[in-house]
Amino acid sequence: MIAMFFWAFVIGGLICVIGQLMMDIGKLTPGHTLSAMVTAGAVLAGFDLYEPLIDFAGAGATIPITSFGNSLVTGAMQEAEKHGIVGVLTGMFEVTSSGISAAIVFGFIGALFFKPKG
Amino acid sequence: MKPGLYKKLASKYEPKRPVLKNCIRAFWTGGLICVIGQAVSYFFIFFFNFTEQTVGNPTVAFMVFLSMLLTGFGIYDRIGQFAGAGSAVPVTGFGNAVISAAIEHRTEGFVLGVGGNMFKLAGSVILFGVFSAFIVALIKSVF
Amino acid sequence: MKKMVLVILLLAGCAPEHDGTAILETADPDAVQLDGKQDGLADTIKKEADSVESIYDTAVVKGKKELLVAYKVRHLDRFKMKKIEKDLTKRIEKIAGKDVEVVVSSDYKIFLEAVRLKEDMAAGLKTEEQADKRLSEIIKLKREMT
Repeated sequence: MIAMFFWAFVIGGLICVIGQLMMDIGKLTPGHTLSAMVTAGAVLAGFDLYEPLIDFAGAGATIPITSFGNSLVTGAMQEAEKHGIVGVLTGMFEVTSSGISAAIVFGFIGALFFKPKG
Repeated sequence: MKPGLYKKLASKYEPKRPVLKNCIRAFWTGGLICVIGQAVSYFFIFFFNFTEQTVGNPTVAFMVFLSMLLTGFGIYDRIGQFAGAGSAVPVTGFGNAVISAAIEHRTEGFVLGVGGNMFKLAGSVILFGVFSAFIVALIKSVF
Repeated sequence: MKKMVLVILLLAGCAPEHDGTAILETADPDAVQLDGKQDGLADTIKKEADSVESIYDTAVVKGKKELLVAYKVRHLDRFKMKKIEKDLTKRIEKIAGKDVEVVVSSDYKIFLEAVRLKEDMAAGLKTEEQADKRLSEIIKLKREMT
C-alpha cells in the first residue's frame, strides 16, 4: 500500500512534467497540451500499455487526463467485443461517464452557488 | 525591417521560462494530487463496495467535486499559477476548466451563459479524446 | 494539504475496527474450506499460490462450488499482472479439477473481503452456510467491470 502511494506520486508527477515540458519547450498552449495528452492516452491504450501502468501506479495513472483517452478506448473495446463494430460508437462513454457527468453536474452547481471573481 | 527579424527580437525580450523550476513544481503538485486520489480510492475500497476495478468512477467524481470547491473559492487558480501543468493535467484541472467557465459566464444566464460556455476550454479535450479513441478502437476491433 | 492529512487520518483512525491491516501488511490468512470435505484442498492450493515468485500474500476460500484465490503481487511485478493471473489460473485449475469454478483476483478489495470472511469464521460470527453465500457475493463483486 505504501509502495502504491509512492508510485502514484512518481508516475503522476512525471506525467505532469511531460505536460509542463510540452508547454515550456514545445511552446504549446494548455489547451493543445491537454488535447495531445488525451490523444496519447488513447494511443497507449491501443497498444495495451495503459492498463499495466494503472496496475502499477494506481491513481498516478488514473487521475491525469491521459486516463480519459484510455477509458474511452476501454469502454469502446468492451462494447465492440459484445456487439461488434457498432459497439465502438455506443460503448465510448461506458467507462468515462463519471468524469464528464461529474464535471457537468458540479459545474452547474458551482455556477449556482459561486459568484464570478475579478 | 527584414521579415523574421521581429520574431527574433521578440523572442530575445520574452522572459526566459524557468523550465527546470516549473518542472519540479509540476512534479510535486501533480504527484500530490495523485496521492490524494489514491487515498480517496482506498477510502472507497475500505468503506464502500468498490473494487480496484470499479473504484475509478467514484474517485474521479470526488476529485471533480473537490475541484469545484477549490475553484469556487478561487483557490484552484492560485494553485494553477504556481503549479502550471501540475494542476492542469490531473482530472481536477479538467474539472476546473469546466467549472470556472460555468461560474464566469453565469451573468449571461443559465442557458446561453453557463450552458453555452461550460465546455469552452474543456471541449477540445473531449473532442480529441473521443475522436482519437474512436479511431484507435476502430483499428483495434478490425484487426 | 490539510485535506490529504485528514483523509489519511480518517483511513488510519478507522482501520482497526474494520480490520483493514490486511491491506497494509502481509496478512497471510489461513485457507478456509466451506464444502465440508476434509481433503485439505484449500491448503494445497494456498501453498501452490504462495510458491509463485511474484506473489507474496494469498487468501484462499473454497466454497461448495467456487474457489476464490485472492493474492497480492510484488509491486515491481505489477506491470505483468495479466500474465501472472493467467499462469496462476492455469496452475490452480490443474490441481482443483474440473468441477470447481476457479476465481483468482489480485484486487485489494477482494483480498480484504476474503480476510474479513476468514476472521468472521474464526470468531464464530458466520455459519458455513452464510460464509458460502458471502463468498458468492464477493465473486459477484469481482466480476463487476465498471
